[in-house]
Amino acid sequence: MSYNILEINGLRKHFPVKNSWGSEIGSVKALDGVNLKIEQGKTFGIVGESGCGKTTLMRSLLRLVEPTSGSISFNDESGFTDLLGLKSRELRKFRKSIGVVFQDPMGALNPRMLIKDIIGEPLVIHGQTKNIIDRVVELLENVGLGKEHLYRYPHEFSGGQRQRIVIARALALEPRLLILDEPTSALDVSVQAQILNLLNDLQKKYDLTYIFISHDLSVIEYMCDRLVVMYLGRVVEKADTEELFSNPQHPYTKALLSATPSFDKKKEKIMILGDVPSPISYHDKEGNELATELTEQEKLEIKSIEGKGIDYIVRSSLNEVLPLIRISDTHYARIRILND
Amino acid sequence: MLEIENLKTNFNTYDGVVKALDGVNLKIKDGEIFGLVGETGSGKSVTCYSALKLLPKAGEIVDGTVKLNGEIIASSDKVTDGTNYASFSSRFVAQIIDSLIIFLFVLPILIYGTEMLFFTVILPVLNLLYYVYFDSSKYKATPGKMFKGLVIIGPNGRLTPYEALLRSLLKILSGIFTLGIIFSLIFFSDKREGFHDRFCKSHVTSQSKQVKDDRRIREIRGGEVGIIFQDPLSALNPVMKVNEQIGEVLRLHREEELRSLSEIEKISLYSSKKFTLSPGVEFTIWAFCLSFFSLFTMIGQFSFGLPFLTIIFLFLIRDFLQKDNPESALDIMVLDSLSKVKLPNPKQIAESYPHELSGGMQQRVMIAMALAGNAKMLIADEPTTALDVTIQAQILQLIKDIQKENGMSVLLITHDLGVVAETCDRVAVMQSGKIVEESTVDKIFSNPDHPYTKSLLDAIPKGGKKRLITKESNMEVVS
Repeated sequence: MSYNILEINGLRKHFPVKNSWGSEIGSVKALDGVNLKIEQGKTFGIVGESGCGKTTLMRSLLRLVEPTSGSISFNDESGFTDLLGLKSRELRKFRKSIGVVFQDPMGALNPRMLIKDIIGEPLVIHGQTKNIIDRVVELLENVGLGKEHLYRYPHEFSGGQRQRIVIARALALEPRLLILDEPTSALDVSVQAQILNLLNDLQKKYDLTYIFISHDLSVIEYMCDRLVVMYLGRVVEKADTEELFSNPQHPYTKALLSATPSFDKKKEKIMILGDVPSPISYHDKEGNELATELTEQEKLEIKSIEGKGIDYIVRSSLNEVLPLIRISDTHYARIRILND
Repeated sequence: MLEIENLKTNFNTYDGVVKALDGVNLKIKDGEIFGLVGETGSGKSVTCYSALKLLPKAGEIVDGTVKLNGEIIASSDKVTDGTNYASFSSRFVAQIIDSLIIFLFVLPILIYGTEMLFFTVILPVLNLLYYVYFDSSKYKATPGKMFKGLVIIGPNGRLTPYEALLRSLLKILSGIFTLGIIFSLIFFSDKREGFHDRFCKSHVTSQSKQVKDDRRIREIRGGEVGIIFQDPLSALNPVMKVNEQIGEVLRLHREEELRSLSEIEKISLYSSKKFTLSPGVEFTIWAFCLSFFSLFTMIGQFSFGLPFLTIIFLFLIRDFLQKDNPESALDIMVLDSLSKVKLPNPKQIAESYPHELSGGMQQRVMIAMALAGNAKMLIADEPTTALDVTIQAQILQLIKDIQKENGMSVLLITHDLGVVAETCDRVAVMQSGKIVEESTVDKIFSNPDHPYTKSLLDAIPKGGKKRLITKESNMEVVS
């Protein structure tokens, strides 16, 4: 039976922007109304460029940042939890059920702790100290390492092995949901392949749900069942992976897909021109919406690209906020409907 | 264009010798984009660093040569062409003499100012004259008022001629040394060549070749060969404005063009700005002058405070005294190189600091800097790894466009096979310090010969949920 392990409704996180006197003059809309439903046992992908709010979304799932508004609910065997209503002690208990794997394994591991302490630490914190060494060895064997690695320091391992250790630690408390924040972007392709295989094996073994954050579309395509594309704090398109890759609707998704370097030289290219607009909106400015006129740089780039037969979209055209439109049962996108 | 023959580079570590490069052969033709692919630790970056002699101290080229347009720019550090480099002992002696001179003559002058010239040059000459023209054995030295305490007098008030001559000669020698140092500091001060190098040249002639080589490689780096690094924010200097950083390249590598431009346009060479100091320094001067002026006024010596008042006055009317200069030749060329990389309003960007720009813009500035010295060859060391896919596409497009416009060759170092497939003409695949396969892009991706290349291609996730084929890679080569 499949059910939604996580439901996010209207999640907003606005970071205040203050002037030098300390009074609030505007806000960065890191998340601006995100709705997601994440199915148990599947891999859910989040794609977007840096600054689009992927990481804020991840952090607010763990309540490492407090969302401004919205609701997050978590369901598992034990029942339904309203994540934003938890008190601090309950929250600490709850965090067992979500594990995280960060991008840079060396930064996530304490260089002065032994591997057994690193992996055992969450167990100690949550009071599961019975047969702790056996449990740590079991976790290590799960990720393809062994007993002989117990008494070593993180610097003695290669990048791939470090990432395995981080995964082992994330699995220590038997979470139902694992958040993977760009787990392979610091790794070489061959090591990346090993880690991806490992993640797939673990998912089958423990019936885990993954939230997979990445900007590498080939990895996303390989790993994920369902996918959202984020742009400037909003979900611009969500669909099943195959559907999204074969039939992208939003112009940004199209450009993103075409921008991925590939071996197919004939593939149609769509360039995105211009720079990412600043997500800061000032209170005193009218409307708070980003300008949709062409900027100087975009004009310059359009001029340089004209006549080369390359398709392009312009960043400023993406600034307009459109409603999310249903394309099929599983496919939604923020696009303009043509009346004719 | 660039030819690397049998290049072997070793790193000496505490655990032994790491053979980072083990016989690399590369040929990059004129006007082509050449890709160098490999995993971390396969020696991609070391290849580029050895070619430009940018290796850290532990690294050393053991064998092989690097040629740029047929000219050898880097070769093994061991003797190969019969040139004797300075031995350790002669370098050691030169260094000791160096430090002696600095401690005995240069430092006193720096500390006590040019009055020391009187003691080190003029006084010995006077002394000598004094003893040469007067028979000192008969003449009892009774120095006049002026020389009291300055003229050398023996214990009994006399000096033997021999003693006197010796002392004077010593003083003269010291004077000559000091003068020589001062003159060399003033007239030949060439920051690119250390004082030590210059001094050694006269003593240890065989080192001059090395000095010459060093000078040449400095011309090449940033001049004929431009480099872009992976992380633009750490490659750019955070406390220098963009125009200062690009201006530095232009000053070092395109001085003549700058001069001719300034002569034709009749504008100043470097500075167009009014005289301003940094806010901190200006504040200090203000505070200093005001406090001294008020101090002297308070103690009733108004006239002593006048100079300080003048300085304050000059600061106040500074804007009226200075005319607004037109753009200098340097400014024009900086803006020119910025607009080449398609940056919008280059004037604003030239005046900003690196952290004010977005990642893509920073990388564009890096490219502008690499090209500012009229590069014929561009080495791009993972230029897009730190960027998003969409920005990556823009930057790669820019590199391709510029390559076409200037007809230069590009060496693209990357671990992303997709980037190579899109941009490069030819590729070499590196594994543990060796090039295992080299051919055109089409061939390497459609029909790879070497098993390593195949395994790299297999490891890339593609659509479909097939299990990825992996293989254990061992990259450490410690002997």
